[in-house]
Amino acid sequence: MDCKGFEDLISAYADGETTGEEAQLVEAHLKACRACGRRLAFIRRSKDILASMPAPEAPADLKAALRVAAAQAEARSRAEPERPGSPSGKALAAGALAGALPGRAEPRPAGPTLLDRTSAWMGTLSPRYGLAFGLAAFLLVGLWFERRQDDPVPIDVMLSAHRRYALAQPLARTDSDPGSVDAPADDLEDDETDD
Amino acid sequence: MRRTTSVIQPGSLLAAGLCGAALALFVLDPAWAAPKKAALPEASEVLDDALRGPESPFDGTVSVRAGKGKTKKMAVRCARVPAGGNPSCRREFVDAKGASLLVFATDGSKEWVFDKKLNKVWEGPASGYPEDLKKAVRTHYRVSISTGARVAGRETWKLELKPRSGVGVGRRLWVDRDRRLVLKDESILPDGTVAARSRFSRVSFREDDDPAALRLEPAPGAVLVGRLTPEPAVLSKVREETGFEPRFPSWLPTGYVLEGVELIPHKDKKILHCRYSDGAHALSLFQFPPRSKLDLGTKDRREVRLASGTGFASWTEDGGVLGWSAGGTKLVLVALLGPEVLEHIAESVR
Repeated sequence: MDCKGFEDLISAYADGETTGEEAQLVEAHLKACRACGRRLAFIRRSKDILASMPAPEAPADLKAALRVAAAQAEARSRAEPERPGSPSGKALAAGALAGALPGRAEPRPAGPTLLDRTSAWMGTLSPRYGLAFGLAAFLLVGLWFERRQDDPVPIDVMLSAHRRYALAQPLARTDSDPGSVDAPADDLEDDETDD
Repeated sequence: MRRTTSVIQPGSLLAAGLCGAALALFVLDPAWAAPKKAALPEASEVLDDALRGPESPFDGTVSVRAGKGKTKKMAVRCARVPAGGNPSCRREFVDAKGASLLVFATDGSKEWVFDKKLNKVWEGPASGYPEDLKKAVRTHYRVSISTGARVAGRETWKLELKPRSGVGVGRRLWVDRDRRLVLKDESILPDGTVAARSRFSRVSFREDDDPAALRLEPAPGAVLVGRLTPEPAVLSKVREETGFEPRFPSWLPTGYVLEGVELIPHKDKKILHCRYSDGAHALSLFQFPPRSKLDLGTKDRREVRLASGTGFASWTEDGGVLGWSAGGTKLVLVALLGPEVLEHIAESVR
């Protein structure tokens, strides 16, 4: 067998999914072929990197939102008599999720409602599209959170603090001293006008 | 009856001509109708003299009012301005009985502010009026001169300083014609509102000069603190609470001291508010955590070039506003001060 024939076997060997006989075959080939040795090292390093990456956390309210969506879908399906071939509420909710979960996509029969059609469309997507959809949703949630963090501070917040301070008669607070009297305001007025 | 012959002599003709000319001049030039006005000096010359300060020592009483605040009375006593230096001065806010509440003193190199009630002294370098700031006054404003009203019984020239940019606080100065002391000072907002005013109600110029008499003598046991920066304990608490390194100006106009700091919660941020005052006017320096966004309003906003980058200037009824960023921290100044002074303060923030 040449190197091309070993490609799939090496990948399975790296995942520990080969039989004893296949493993012996791969190990014998690896002793003689440096290129396949490098391939195996690359696959293992990639696995290590992926394993060390933190799993993105779902928003705290995602679970609650899904429950509500599922409950609503179930209530709707109860209200309407189930037609032959039309999916149940739980199935619809599962269908809506199917696109976002890689490897879980199964074709769904198209229903008469928009929700049915959407879930059916999502169900026909390949796992790769499902992954992309999930990532996009994750990014949108992240961007929304980032924007919320970066709401500009309005100048009014500063001005009200400044006014509070300025009106408190900074330093020499004569208003708290009953013995002191401020200058009469007309001290500031001129006796005559400018030319 | 003796007959007389009238003979017109050449000498009498000349005399009559001179009398006629004098009469014509008298009629054409109505000097008798109004006193002759003094010729206006150059505005830039009067401004330079006013910025340098009077050559004579003086005593006076000044009334000060900022914004909607009360009017305060201040006793001022200054020594002769040394060549190229800052004057020794002593200013006191006094109560109705003449007792001092707050004393400002400078010997030209250091400044002290003594709050008698708190028995607290702020100490720091004297601000003076740096040469580059004097140059900035000429570049930031259009200056015009006219004859001013008498202030404290003295003749004045009135200088009008309008910001060239149209943004920021302008000034009107009434300058003593002989001694070049600023007797009245108004801060004008771009909409024409007089936001602050100070005016001498009495002034007298002296010949004797004893700067030693102007020194500050705080009461024994007075607490001594820095003029522009907080105490180390306050500083470390601010660092801990805000999560960023606070910055402070190394220059503020004469008389201003750091009265205190406060933390303003805003959503999940903490804004640092440094409060400075000269006893009558407030100056606020706000500082924000890195990556904060600010909305300084759109009222005549314009860009300002600072050493640390581009800043933004605008104005409100509280005075001028200047926002900029330095070392990742966003800063905003709010004060009733001209644009050139706000920029000078911003450049001094370290």
